[in-house]
Amino acid sequence: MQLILLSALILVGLGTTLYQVKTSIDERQDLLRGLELSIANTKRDIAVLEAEWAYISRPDRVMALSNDLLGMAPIGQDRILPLNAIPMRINVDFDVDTEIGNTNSEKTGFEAKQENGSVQVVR
Amino acid sequence: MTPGLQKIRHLILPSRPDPAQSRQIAEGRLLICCLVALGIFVTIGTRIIGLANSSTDIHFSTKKPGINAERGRILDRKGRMLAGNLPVTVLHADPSEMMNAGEAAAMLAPFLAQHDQKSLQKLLTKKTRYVELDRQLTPKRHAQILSLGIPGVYFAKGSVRIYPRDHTAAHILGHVDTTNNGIAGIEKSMDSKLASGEDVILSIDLGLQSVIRSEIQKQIDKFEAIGGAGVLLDIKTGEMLAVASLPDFNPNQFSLANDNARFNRATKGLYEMGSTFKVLNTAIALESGAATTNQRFEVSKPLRVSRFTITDYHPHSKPLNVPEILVYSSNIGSALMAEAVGAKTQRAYMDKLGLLDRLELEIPEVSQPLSPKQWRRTTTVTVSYGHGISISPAHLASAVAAASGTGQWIQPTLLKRQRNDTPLRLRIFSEDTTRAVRSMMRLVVSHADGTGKFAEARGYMVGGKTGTAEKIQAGGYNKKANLATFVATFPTHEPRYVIAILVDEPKGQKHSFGYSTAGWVVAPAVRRIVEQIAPILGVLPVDEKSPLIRQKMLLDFTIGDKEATLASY
Repeated sequence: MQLILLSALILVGLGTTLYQVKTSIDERQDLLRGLELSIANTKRDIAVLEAEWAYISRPDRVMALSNDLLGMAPIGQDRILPLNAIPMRINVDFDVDTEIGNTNSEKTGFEAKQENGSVQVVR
Repeated sequence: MTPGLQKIRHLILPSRPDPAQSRQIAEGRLLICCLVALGIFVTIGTRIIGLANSSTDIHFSTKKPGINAERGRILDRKGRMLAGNLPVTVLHADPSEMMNAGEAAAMLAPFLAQHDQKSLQKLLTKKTRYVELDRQLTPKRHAQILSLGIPGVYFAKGSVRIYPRDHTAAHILGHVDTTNNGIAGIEKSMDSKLASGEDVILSIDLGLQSVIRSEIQKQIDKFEAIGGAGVLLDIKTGEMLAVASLPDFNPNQFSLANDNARFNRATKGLYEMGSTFKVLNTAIALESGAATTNQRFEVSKPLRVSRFTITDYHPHSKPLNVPEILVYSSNIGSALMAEAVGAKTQRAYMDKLGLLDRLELEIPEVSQPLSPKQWRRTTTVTVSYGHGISISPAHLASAVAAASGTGQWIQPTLLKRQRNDTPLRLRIFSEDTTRAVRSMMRLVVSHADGTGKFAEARGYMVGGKTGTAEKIQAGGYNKKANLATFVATFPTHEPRYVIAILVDEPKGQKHSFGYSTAGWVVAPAVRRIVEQIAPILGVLPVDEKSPLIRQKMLLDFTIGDKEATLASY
């Protein structure tokens, strides 16, 4: 008798668990379907936006716009230099009194150094 | 209980069995009940599990990749979209579910541009379960039709192939039919890859393509030409960075384009390239040892070869050396050099340069070049200045890349090379030959008497060769219909790129003093193209006079005297 009662209880317990697991799975599936749908919709939106972006960023259109609205033109070759062709900042030892705010002297530190002949070019 | 009473009981009820036996029977019955109950529970349990599993099977069914996947995109070498898919709503109907086809047709007709009420009614009474009414429904019309509430009308999500860059690279991309099967260009040749959802990355650069297309278009407009083509080739990798053919079409409205616009002049069009071939002729003569750079050829008298007489546009009284022949574009000089090379050798070089076979490009639109079956003396002579052999602009770019670049012919491609790609390379010319050829091409542009002066983009060391060929017509050449070509290599001190541009039938204009030669028509476009694309390509301008640059060139050629005229055959 005890055996029967026990097995009946176990069966009831298993049945309830199974039911709960199933309903929770159903809920999760609904959630998943919702997410999948929103992903698909977002992907479609992205595809539309990408297509629009590709269309409005056509080089000929951008060129015409930058020409008309910004007055831009292709860069002349005389405006292009390699980086090492730019003279770097000149490093000056401040042995002359050239503190900021000192307006007594007309000379800047730069000129003073050139006269001293110890101009250092830092690369 | 008294025995008497028991006797009476026996009269009514059957006699009681033995208690021990009776217990056995009861236990047996109980067991059967238990087993039956257990059986029922197990059956129900299995069914529940079964149902739970089967329902998950439905919900978790994933799309099989490759079968329903969206068609792959076509991207340029920097990953910019050239062809893609736009999601659309497809309107379709099931005629068998239609309550009243006539009424439905009347209600739908105002929303559908491609149908009227009659054709709709015909469609909706078809004996089928699926009719497509509209492939590209806008969200607004979608909502409107939905609110009509017609039974049997359905909406499906679909996608339509789009080419967001309109005309740019239209010939290369090609097209798909209504069921998304590639029918031209990359769409056709790469159909299986695209159909399985993979993207295709082209060697084309959208920016460069756009510059070259618009500059050729400008020249076509300026000189009232009928068409044009342009190819930009990377010498070191064989990648075609831009391939333009004009007139072109909008692939989004493919059906509106006529055959002329659909024709890819850059890869399928065959033309006699004229004097641009002298670059190849010079390279072949130097490489085969038939001529040296300082060797002089007598060009003062017209050359008679069987029934032809070869003349120069501007006759020269003095013998010309090899650089002068190229700079002045002397036909007689080129012919004499070719004769020194010989027919067999010349043909062998043409073969190695790929000019006798169709180019193995990744699009179906390529042609077999036209060349004489028998390579006679007249062939040798005419080929030296680009007649008697018809090739595509892509052929020309690829051959000149070998002659003025690394000396190797590299299999050209329309797909971006991957790092481990090993394209077919054929060593044809030595470094010395290509250096000499480049220096001479540079002189064509930089020298005061050069035919390509207008191609000078200061600082970018452009070298090139003009070609103005009369077009073939029935029974000979048409003196009024020209083909202006220009092939350029830049920068000539460190060759990286070759541009071949062709303008078909330009007409002389007031602003060009009546000239319709390549020097006037194409060279200025090449200058503007180089000035615009060099910064994109990362080519820095240099000082031509600096010793570092000069030592990379061979510039100790003597080119005529100051009175030499501007020759441009």
